[in-house]
Amino acid sequence: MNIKMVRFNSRVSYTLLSLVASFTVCGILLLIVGYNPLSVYGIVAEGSLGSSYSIMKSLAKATPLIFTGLSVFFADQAGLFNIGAEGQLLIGGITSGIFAYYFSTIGLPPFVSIILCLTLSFIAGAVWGFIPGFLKAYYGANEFIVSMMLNYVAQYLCEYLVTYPFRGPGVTAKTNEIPASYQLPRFVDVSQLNLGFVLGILAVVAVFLFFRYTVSGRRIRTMGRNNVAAVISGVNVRKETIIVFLISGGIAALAGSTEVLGVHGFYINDLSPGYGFDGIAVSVLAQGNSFGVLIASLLFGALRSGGSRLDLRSEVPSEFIIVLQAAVVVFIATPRLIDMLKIRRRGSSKKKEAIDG
Amino acid sequence: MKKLFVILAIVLICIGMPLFAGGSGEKTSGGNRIAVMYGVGGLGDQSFNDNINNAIIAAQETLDFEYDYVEPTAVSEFETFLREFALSGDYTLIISAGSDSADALNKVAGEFPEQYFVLLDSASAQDNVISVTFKDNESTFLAGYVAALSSETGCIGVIGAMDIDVINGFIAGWEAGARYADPDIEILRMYCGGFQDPVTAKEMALQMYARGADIIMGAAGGSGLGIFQAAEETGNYAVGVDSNQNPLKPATIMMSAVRNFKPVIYSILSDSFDGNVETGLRNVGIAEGAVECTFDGSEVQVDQSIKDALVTIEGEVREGKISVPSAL
Repeated sequence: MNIKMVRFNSRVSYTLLSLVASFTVCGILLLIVGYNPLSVYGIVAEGSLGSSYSIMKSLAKATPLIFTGLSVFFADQAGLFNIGAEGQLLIGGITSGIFAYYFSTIGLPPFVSIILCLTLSFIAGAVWGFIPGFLKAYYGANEFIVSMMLNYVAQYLCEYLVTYPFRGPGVTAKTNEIPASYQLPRFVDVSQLNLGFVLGILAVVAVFLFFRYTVSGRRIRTMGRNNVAAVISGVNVRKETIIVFLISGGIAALAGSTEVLGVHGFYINDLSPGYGFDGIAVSVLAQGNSFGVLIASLLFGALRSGGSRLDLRSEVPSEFIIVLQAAVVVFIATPRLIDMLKIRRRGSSKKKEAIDG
Repeated sequence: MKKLFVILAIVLICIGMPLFAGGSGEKTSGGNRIAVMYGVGGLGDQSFNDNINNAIIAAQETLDFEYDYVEPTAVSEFETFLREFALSGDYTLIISAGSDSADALNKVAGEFPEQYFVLLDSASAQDNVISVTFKDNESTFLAGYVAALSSETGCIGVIGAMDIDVINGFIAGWEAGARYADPDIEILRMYCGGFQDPVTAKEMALQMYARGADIIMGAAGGSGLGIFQAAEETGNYAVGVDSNQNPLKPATIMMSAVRNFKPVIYSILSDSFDGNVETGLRNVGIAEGAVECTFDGSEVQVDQSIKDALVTIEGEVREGKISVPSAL
């Protein structure tokens, strides 16, 4: 076993331990409140994995999280914080909603329309991401705060657009319905799972390849590890900061775009129940690994999907899932807690390492 | 080794406790069962959603049925929840609360023609849907009438959740009532953008009070709580809607334009459980006892002469002598 492998293994075992710890802690919470944690987890599992419909639902719920998680992850690799995924998602969503309908009215071929919409959404999200990136690069503005505040700007801008100029028929504020052939195809009629999920996986692979094999990706990683070292070795940090935010914003926008083109068929006010913020948790859980984003999204998607079953089939409110997600993030983000649990194991694993190495 | 024991003990407790406690969270099924999908504000809004919940719980005292509900966090989730309710096939009725669920409901109701749905607060053309709409404009007409006569500044305000038909019905009644009492009254109008945003609503209310309004009505679900706070802080008055919100801040909330869900919900449930589902629209107002303007629980002094005038006006609205506009 080489050292890299050991590092990877310890990271995986560490993440798994965090998950077990958070499920245990939340189980104890449930006990204190007076519920049977096993039956509650059973309901969650049934709601997320119990039937082919629920599995598809979990995957569908995971789709936007893959994109928003990847967006936050991308910025994180450069040592930057993109809290604006939520706003970028909305901007991407409304762009797709407006253009997909427009393209269908002028009779563009559906395939071309879908590709154009995804591209335009990516660009719109990139523009939204450009603002914090640019302000950070040239004026030293805190990207955390700027990107977060832009969420509100995006939210109200989209609300205006969908309530007045681009409002479609119906009582709800939403855009005109996009004809079915101009939507991302679904795999099965009843499930909201659509081609967006595959696009999400492709995006994960693309980001993985970008960081592993391109010079730009290497530069961005260097910047994230040690900003000063990056400057000294000749990385143009300003330029890279802007590039990172352009791409990060674009990826987040694809979450909105696939929701609009694949799930709803229109942009609806209040499009996201916090996918952008869940993306932050996904990125934390991913532990610096692109494929970790995929796995973390699947986990959170499954939890979300199981959570709605909780509402229906038990007295436990679905908000419990939020507690559970938060516990996961807390355990992952505070390594010391897990280290305390692992102290005993470390001695033995060190010995092993010496032998294997 | 000690730590290992602790962990083991915790795991054992987790598995063992429920055997003794027996506190399973699972519900049992059987007989009639209804599902309710609440509006985005969720339960605890002291308004629309709580009102429906109370009506259902009240109905449970005399009718025998199980009651499941969900509280979606975004409008975009409505369709999924409704479809899941329908797919399960467990429910006699699926109740969808709030006009913003109308589009999702129409879509899902079309997919499941055998399933009966109830749509509260909006009309649906589907054959398998019972729609209930309230003539809120009648109760807000009365509230606007009282507000205009009670205002000392000659300026009142209204904060709506969104620029949509249902909310504008509330506002239309309020403005018409105020103008009926005083054609020269100045009426400020704003939309706070959502049913669960008391912070924005409070800011808007503070602005309105600063601009001279002294009585503001909120037609914004849970956001209305922000208006009450603003009124309390500035020493002005507010008007509640949907449920009787007067007791929340008795010294600040002058009156409430109330919807009474109990008779409507009860009759729908008991008819349906008896097998007589009557789909179609039920548009209910003052004449049906479904809406009213109430001072109960408020400590704000309203002139007796105004209250007397209100009784007359109420009678005229009931008899249709005054026709209240339902849209702006």
